[in-house]
Amino acid sequence: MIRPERLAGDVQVYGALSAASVVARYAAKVEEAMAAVAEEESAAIAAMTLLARQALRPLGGLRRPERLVLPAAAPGGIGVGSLWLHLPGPPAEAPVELTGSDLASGAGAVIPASAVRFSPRPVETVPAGSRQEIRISVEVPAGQPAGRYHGWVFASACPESPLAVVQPVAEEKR
Amino acid sequence: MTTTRRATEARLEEYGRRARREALTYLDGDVDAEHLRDPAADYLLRPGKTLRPALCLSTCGAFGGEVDRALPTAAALELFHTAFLVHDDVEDDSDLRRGLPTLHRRYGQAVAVNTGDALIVFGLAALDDNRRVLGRRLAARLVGEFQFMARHTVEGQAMELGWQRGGRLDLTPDDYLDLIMKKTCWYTTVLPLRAGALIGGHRPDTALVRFGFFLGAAFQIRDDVLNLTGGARYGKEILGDIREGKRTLMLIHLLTVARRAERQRLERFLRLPPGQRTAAMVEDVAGMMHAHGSIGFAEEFGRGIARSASMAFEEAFGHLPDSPEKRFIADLADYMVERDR
Repeated sequence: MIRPERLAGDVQVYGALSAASVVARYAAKVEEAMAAVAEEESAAIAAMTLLARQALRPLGGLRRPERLVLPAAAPGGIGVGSLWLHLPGPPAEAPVELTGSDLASGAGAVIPASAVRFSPRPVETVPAGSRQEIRISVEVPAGQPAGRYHGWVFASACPESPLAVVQPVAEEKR
Repeated sequence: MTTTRRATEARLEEYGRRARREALTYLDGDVDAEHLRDPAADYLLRPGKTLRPALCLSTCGAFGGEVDRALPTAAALELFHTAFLVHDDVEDDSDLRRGLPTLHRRYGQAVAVNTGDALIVFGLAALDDNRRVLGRRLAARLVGEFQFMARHTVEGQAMELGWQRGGRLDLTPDDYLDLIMKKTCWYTTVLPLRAGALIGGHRPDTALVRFGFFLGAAFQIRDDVLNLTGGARYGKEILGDIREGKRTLMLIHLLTVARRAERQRLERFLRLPPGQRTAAMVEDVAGMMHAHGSIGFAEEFGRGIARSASMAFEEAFGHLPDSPEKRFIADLADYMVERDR
């Protein structure tokens, strides 16, 4: 015969384990949701705009490049942010390709262009009068010296109007 | 009542007073007193536990933040919570809230539904004030946190309504926990903890979600048990959850262990519209729950979660220096399981 206190203990363990599995699911969900909020914040604060060729025509020329500051990342980490491709005019004739340059610090250290990635890539279609969010990520190599790394993002639709990008790199944790 | 419990309740009341005073300021202005301000203030002026603002304010303090800076957020939590209560009472057609007639019984359904909407609008105004108090970035982050909460709360409410209307009888304790995470725990404990930590300058982590859910689940299970066993201090209708056919842990347990004839009786009861469930039928279901140990099962299940909450507290707050706020949060886990109202 099972003793009542043993049964009570088993039910308590059942409750604790079941609750733990719920936490695991929802902790991941909120992290994902809040990461999106942080990226939107970063995008809003940088007030950046990339204009496709069709967007530039009605405005009659180039716009002063703006600057995107990505959240600081540690060596081995990734800086992630968003930029927006605005297309008030008719659709682009070809997919818009984005390219990142090397990022260099004032001390001469470099994060190679291959560490800069975009998603989606290329931007196949942007409906006229709409905007498309582009995720940018910079993979900071392990052992990268701390500092502010400066570089550029070019859009094939308007290479003459690049967007300045800054990736702060934090001190490596010991 | 123990000294610790008295101290916990006293501190809850103190936090609650501050948050409610702040919340009431958002009801000021050029509004129709009879049809909007008075009904909106009605629940706020009734004595409640004010657990949510208390958790937010104390967490902010425990992380070294200035507690006053969390007041608009604490007010928003209380205003959203009150809005949910008003709408919940209409949905469940409840008679009592905090020992007095529900808002729709007192003012009529139309005024009650509009008041619930208004309380959400007032809550948004409180959140908007965070731009002035906390700055644009942190205010935007808190809006994101509230959006996440609100979405899961309404999804949880929809899930529960679906279970009742669809006559679901195949549920497990895991389904129940998933439901209360959405419907209750996020807005009752997890969000207040996360918001308080953010305002206190700390990035919320999984440890806070873990502590918040364990605390909130223990709270909800206790609430369900009190609905069957509550005494004079319990402010809602005793056995109201059975009458509404709520899929509580006790009902889920009973559906599993009831003998064949009892199960058939129970299924017939749950198929009836709530209005056709008589007091004798409700008493019969409650009697089965007592006889089959369903209440004891729920209590032990909740006790296991509350014990885990004590451990999760150490994970989330153990590294912080000692403070009255930290001690208050620690005492809450016991209070949640042992409270009688």
